[in-house]
Amino acid sequence: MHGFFLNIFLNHSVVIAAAIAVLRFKIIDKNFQPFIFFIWLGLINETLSLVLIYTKGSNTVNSNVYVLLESLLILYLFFSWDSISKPLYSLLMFAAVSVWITDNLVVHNINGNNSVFRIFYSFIIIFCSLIQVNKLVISERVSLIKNPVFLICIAFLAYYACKAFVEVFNAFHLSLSHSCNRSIFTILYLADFLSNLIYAIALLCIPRKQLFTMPY
Amino acid sequence: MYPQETTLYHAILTAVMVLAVIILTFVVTVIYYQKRKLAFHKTNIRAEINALEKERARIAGDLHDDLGASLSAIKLKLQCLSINDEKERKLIGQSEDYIDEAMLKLKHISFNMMPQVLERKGLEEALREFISTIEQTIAVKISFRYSCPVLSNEKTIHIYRIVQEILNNIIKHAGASSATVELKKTKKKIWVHIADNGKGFNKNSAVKDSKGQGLRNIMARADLLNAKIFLTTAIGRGVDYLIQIPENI
Repeated sequence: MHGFFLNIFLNHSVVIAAAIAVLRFKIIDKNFQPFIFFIWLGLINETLSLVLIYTKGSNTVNSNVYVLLESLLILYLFFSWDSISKPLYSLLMFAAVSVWITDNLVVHNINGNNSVFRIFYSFIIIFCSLIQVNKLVISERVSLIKNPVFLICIAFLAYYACKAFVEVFNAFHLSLSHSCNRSIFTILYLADFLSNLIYAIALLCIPRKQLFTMPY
Repeated sequence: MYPQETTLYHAILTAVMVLAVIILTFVVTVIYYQKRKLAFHKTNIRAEINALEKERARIAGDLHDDLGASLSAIKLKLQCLSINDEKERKLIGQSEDYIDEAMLKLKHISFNMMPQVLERKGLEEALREFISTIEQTIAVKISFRYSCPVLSNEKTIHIYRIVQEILNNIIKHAGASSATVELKKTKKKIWVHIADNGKGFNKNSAVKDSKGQGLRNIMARADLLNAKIFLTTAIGRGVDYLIQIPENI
């Protein structure tokens, strides 16, 4: 039970970033709006999951829907940052929706704990994050440490690399005990906690007005 | 957890830690090499701009001292001529007008290359003179406000060039009827604010198409000042530059 509450605490650490996003929503650049919606969506899903676990005993359906919305929002975020071109964005959106439908409606059931889509979209996000980090290294004229785009990409890299890794154990349906499964997922929740803190810092680093820059 | 599961869990934990170390190494190296690239770039730009400024100062000096003096001497000689023929006197008069025009153009070119007033009287006077020259040339009303302390020579020349480049852009492309130039100092920052009511431009396409040498020059000088540029513009809505320069660089 102690571990369960620790997981709730770790997952709900997104509330810090969500609160900062509320305070800064009107003054920050609109290119960051998908990121703010992603943060709020995360908080709503965590709260909904908690309510559903207590009332219905399972949060699988909302989690399966949430991962689809999350992936589409993050893809839109990368598109609005010009990390990916329009054809690539459309292709990745189509691929994400197709894999989600296949995983949750065709091959498995939406009531199940489906991991194939989670692994797939984690790789897409890691791919987009790496593209964006490389772009920043080439084009950015000031240090990257306080660059919100860089911080967000690094948080994505850390969290989704960990997520893809941990979800593999889920995908193979290893007959592990409940306590072992929970311990494995606690690693993911720790990564979630860390990335939530980085999101909060990134939100504080977003300038009030859009900083003007040009590639060299 | 069963004993076999404990071993598996430890293996997973180790793998995650290895993954974390790899990501951390990636982040640290990215930041380190980007910083090195920035320092290298800044050194190159500084060397290029310093060489450019020296060359400009030399050419401006030569133009003013040599060519300007020669033109004055020619004019003086023409004035010394005693001509009785009305036609020839008229011709001499026209020649003197051409020489006056050439001297004025020379003065403008020399001023644009390196305003001596910048060295003698500082940034405020140089900008005031530059703005008054613009107002005499084209129909644009420029409001100028200045409340900055005395700045270092390097900072002065970069700020002057940035303002000059932006105002030149306004003259060439904006089609504005009025503009504002404001320089002020707050606690630890110097703010340069320039705005016009012209036709504006699409910022994203200007950056994507890599057009505009002027914008590039502004960025290069801003880099040397460790300045941040906030540019607000849209088609039909004018251009607003806000440049934040740290006082100590």
